[in-house]
Parts: sequence; C-alpha cells; structure tokens
Amino acid sequence: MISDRVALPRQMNRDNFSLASGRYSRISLVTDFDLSTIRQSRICVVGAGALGNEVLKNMVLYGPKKLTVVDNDRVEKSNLGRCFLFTSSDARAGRKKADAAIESLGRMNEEVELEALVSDAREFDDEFFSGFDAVAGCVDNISSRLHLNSNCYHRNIPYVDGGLDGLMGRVQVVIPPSGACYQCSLNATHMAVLDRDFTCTGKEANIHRRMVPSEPSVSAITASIESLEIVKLLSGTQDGGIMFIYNGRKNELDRIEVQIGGECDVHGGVNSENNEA
Amino acid sequence: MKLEVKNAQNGNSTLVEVEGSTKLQELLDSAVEFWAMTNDAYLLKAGRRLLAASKTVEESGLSDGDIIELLPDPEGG
Ligand SMILES: [Zn+2]
Repeated sequence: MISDRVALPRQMNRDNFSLASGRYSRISLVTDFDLSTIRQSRICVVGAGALGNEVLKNMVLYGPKKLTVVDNDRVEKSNLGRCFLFTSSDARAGRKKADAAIESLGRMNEEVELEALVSDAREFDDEFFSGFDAVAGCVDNISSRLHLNSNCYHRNIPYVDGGLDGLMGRVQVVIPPSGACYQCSLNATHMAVLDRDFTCTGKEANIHRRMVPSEPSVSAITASIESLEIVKLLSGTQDGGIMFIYNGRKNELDRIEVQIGGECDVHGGVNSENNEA
Repeated sequence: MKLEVKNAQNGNSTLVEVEGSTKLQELLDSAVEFWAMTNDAYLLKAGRRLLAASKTVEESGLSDGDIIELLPDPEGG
C-alpha cells in the first residue's frame, strides 16, 4: 500500500507506477524515452573497440529489434584492458571482434537479433546504411567517420559519432536532413591527418601512427553520452548539430553548437553561402 | 584586436593580436605551433559555439577580448 503522502519521483506517476519485474520495467519508467520505438529499432554500431564495446552493451540492454556490429579486426591481448566483451581466450584464438562481441551480447539479452559483419565499414554504401534507424560511429580514424557521415546523411539516417583520446572524449549528433554534419566540424588539421594516413594513390599509408591513449572510465563515460544521444534521437527528443566534449581532467562536459558550412562536401562545398546557418 | 586563446589540454592561455581578416585556421595553426602540440586534429570553440576555421575573425563575430578555446578532436575509438 502506498500512502498518498509518499512523494513519488518525478518520472513515476500513478498511471505508470508498476511493480512489474520485466526486463525493461525500470527503463520504461523514464518517460523521456519512447521505449516501444527504441525496441522496434535497428541499430548499427561501427567499431568494436573500447568505445564500441560500451555502446554495444548499452544498446543491447534497451532491447532493440536488431543490433548490428561492423568490425574487421581481431581481438588482441591489448584490447582486454578496455574491452569487456572480449575474453583472454578470444585474444588467444585471434577471434574477430564482431563475432566475439555478439557472443557476449547474446548472453546479456537473448531477445535481440544480433548480427556480426566482419568488414571495413567503408566497404558498405548508403543502401546498406539505409537499413538502420541509427548508426553509431565508434571508429578510430577520420576517413571512416567521413564515410559513415556522408552515407548516412544522404539517406537521412541519424549518425552519432564518438571519439576518444586519453582523458578527452567527443560525441557528435548528426540528424539529417537539417543540421550540421560531422564534416561541417572539420578543418585543415583534420585534412592533414587524412593526408598523413593515405598515400597519393589513395591507399592507406603504412606509416607509424601515434598510439592513442585509452582509459576505461573515459571510454565508458563517452560511450554513455553517445548511447544516450542515440536513444534520445530514436525517441524524437534530440536535435542534431550538436557536439559534446568531455574533459576527464576536470570532469567537465561542454555542449557545443555546430554550424552548417565550413569546408563540408555534404553541405555543398567550401563556405557555401546557401548553407550558412 | 586581441583574443585570448586557451589550451584545453594544459589549461594555459595566451593573448593573440589579430586582424578582423585573420582566418581562424591561421590562429589555430599558430596556437598548435606555439604550444608545440602533436600533429593531430584540433577544434576551436567560443563559448558554446564551434568556430569554423575557414572563417575570419570578423565573419565569426569575435571581438576584442573574446576567449576562444583550442580543443583536441579525439580520433581514437
Ligand atoms: Zn556538413
């Protein structure tokens, strides 16, 4: 018996309060989300590294209709310090990350249709990405981010991009057809990184790249922001054209507006006046 | 005019003399060189607004004394 004098939490009212013990009963109490839409959605997570592991875990707990993992790499021992979906035996066997990830995810929630695609996401075109309600970028290079951004934007598929470097994390929300995209945020320093990574013939350069530091708490925080933005946009309660920068040194989170334009090909090239926000 | 450029990585800041016609990309490149930062991707923001590096100081609506922040753009996943 609940006394009338007991103050109920804001997100719990007389209509939705339930003692049901179903898998999603607590998430369903968060009235900001449209759980039925989330549960009918098809979500693609590209990259199963530190960020991807965390985003996949969060997504599978929501019980979407389908969760697809795209990653071409194998599990290595160095992944075990930041990727909890993988085991030592996965590393010893050199299993593909996508295969190992869905095995763990299947144990977390058997109600979700899981798909592992052992491929470089740059092999997939806009037709492929149009089969999803949202795409999460958890990749480690600008080239893949540009590919995901442009193909998703072209097909009006929301794209949420994440990035990590030590104690810094970034999440960008792209919701076409309006609002800035990932490429809108780039400048010449990004192009210099792209030039460094590719030869003049367009092939990936086999050069030494700085090993990006990765820390599990910042990975988890950044991935949680990315995951939360995905379920918000699926629920129709999020705007695009925004970026979040997390600074673990100060435990600060900045919410930044991104304007359409810059040198973005998706939005019509360099400083297109028609595209200035 | 003078702008204060803050380095989000180390918390340092410096005053930079610029013209209205100065491209923000020049400012960004100078700051990266000044602090001897690695050859990685960076962003500029003013308050809650990401600045387009292809624009000039004037086009970006910046004025004397404004603070802009240099941020690393994390590439890893
Ligand atoms: Zn754009």
